Amino acid sequence: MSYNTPSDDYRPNRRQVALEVKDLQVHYATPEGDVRAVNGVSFKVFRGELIGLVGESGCGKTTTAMAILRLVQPPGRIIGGQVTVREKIDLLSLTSQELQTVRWKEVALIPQGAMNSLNPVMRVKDQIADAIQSHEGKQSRPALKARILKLFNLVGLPSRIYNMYPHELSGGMKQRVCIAMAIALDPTLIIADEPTSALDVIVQRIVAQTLLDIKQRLGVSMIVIGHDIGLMAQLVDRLAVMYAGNLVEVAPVKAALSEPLHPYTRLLIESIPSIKERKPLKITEGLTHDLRNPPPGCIFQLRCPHVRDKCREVAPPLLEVKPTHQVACHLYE
Amino acid sequence: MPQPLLEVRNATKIYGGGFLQGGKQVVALQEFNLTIPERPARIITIAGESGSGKSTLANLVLGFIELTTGQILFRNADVSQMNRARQLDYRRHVQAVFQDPYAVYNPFYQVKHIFDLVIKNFGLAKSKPNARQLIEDALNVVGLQGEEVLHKYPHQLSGGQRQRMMVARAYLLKPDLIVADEPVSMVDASLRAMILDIMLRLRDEHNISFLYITHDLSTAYQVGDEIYLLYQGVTAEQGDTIRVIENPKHPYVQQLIDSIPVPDPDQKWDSDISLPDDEQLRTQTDSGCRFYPRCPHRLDRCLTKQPPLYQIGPANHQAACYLFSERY
Repeated sequence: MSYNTPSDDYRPNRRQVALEVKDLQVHYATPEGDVRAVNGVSFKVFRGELIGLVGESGCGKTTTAMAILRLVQPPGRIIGGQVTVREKIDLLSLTSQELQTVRWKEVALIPQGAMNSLNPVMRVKDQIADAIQSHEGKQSRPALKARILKLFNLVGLPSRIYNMYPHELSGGMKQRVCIAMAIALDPTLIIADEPTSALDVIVQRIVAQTLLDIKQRLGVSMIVIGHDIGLMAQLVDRLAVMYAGNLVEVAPVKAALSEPLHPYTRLLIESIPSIKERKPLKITEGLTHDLRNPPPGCIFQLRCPHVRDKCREVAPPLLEVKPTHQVACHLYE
Repeated sequence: MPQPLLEVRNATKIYGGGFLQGGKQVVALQEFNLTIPERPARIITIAGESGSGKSTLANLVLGFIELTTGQILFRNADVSQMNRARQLDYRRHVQAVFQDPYAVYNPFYQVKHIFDLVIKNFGLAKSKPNARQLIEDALNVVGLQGEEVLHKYPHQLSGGQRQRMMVARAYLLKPDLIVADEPVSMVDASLRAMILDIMLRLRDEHNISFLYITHDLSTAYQVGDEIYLLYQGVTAEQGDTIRVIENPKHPYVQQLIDSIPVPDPDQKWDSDISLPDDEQLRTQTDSGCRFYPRCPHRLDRCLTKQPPLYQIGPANHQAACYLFSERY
């Protein structure tokens, strides 16, 4: 089976938009002022597309995902922006009742450390049945069972785990149960937050294959959050790079890796330790500005090797410098 | 051969088996052997998945747990037979850096506290200025300045800074060996190189060897001298890091290296793999190869006895697999 994705002949304009995020802003209140965790992020996810959201810890990638689902916890709050599913449902303006019916049906989540999010005293089948029935109402036992077994089949789980408890499963299997739960209602979009982070490489490969497989079979769109660029290269169609609450580059994964434009993306790619060739370590001093008090101008100016006067005054907007390749950097204006 | 710095001989650690566990035993480490020479300093990687026994080995070397059978020798002295004074001396020469740079600090103290404790416990300095100088020197080795960091609280430092301070704390004692248990797995990718570079510098400029415990073969490949790959408590393959990673022989190690995602969309994983449906992989049978249920090349004889390490190449390149029993 081959998973080659059509990232070469990308024609986004002709494709249906599964999710559009516009100028999303999330702040966390602290005694010394608000931390701008997500600072005006805009991007689109097309139907059937897998987009990777990468960046280092604290850059706001998980907060962005949580804001899309309106799951930001206090002291965090969504300050502004729009999140639209299938160009018609504005998630941020729904009442909480409406939201409950839309969430999971339209946008499902595979949370960080998903395998530990299963209820330890509930059988796997009951947890999936719960997700289905709370959205679609009560269903007959045989119908539910058939449906759950079909889901297991889709994610490559054996049917014998139907009656098992989470502790009887391995980490990779638990992760796949979470994927099964996420696709139970045939959502438009799945957000997977570090779906393979605590898994060993071989199991990681199996879980990644499962994600690709359901993407192909169901045509579902996905946002995969992570920091492992190697995994992203294997998995996603497009890459969105975040730094300090801002998107700095969005491009098809091939272009992002072979010709990264933003200095931060370059740094991120250079710092991947290679398994093919031994080379000198690339060392960078990494001091991010205080997120409560971003300096005027570009957010990356303190670490950027190409910083110029303009960067200290004007924040570069995210612009399309080549077809399908967006970057927020004055170097390309 | 000159006297080794540290020698692990036939180390076996078995957990459980007691009344409360219902007699169930888990062999965390089995018949493990390792020698670290006195000179030159080396970075020796212990790699494997979770449950492979690598942290058990670290804890054994650090003296946190005791061996079931076997010996750990430090300069030919059995670590488990040492008296208190010798033990303290051992602790001074064998230091540790742990995985989580957030959990090792007490949030109520300024970070200076971790250095003060070390200096007090080992009586390193005669006066305050003397102590301060020692701390400053150690911080400079990891690229930090005392006045920048010492009077801060742990939450005011970045993960990379905290981890560098832990290395500085270990360096303060001028140890011969640092056991580094996943020191970079919780540090951001762009800062990882800095920690690895400090390890290289300590090895080359200060003659400090490392027992580098990791699941990440890419970083091991970038800095390691020798590597031991564990699978369920047994060494699957060992040898020179570059040789092993570029040319793995054991079927498990081949599968492992093949599964590391390459950051190039044109080099996709070439085939599907799956684990056997029967996921009772951790059966811990005493007989037979541990990798048997997953092995693509398994033979009948693999079930009868755990294969010993066969010499398969120069520089101590060995693999525990019957595929190599006749060839060499």
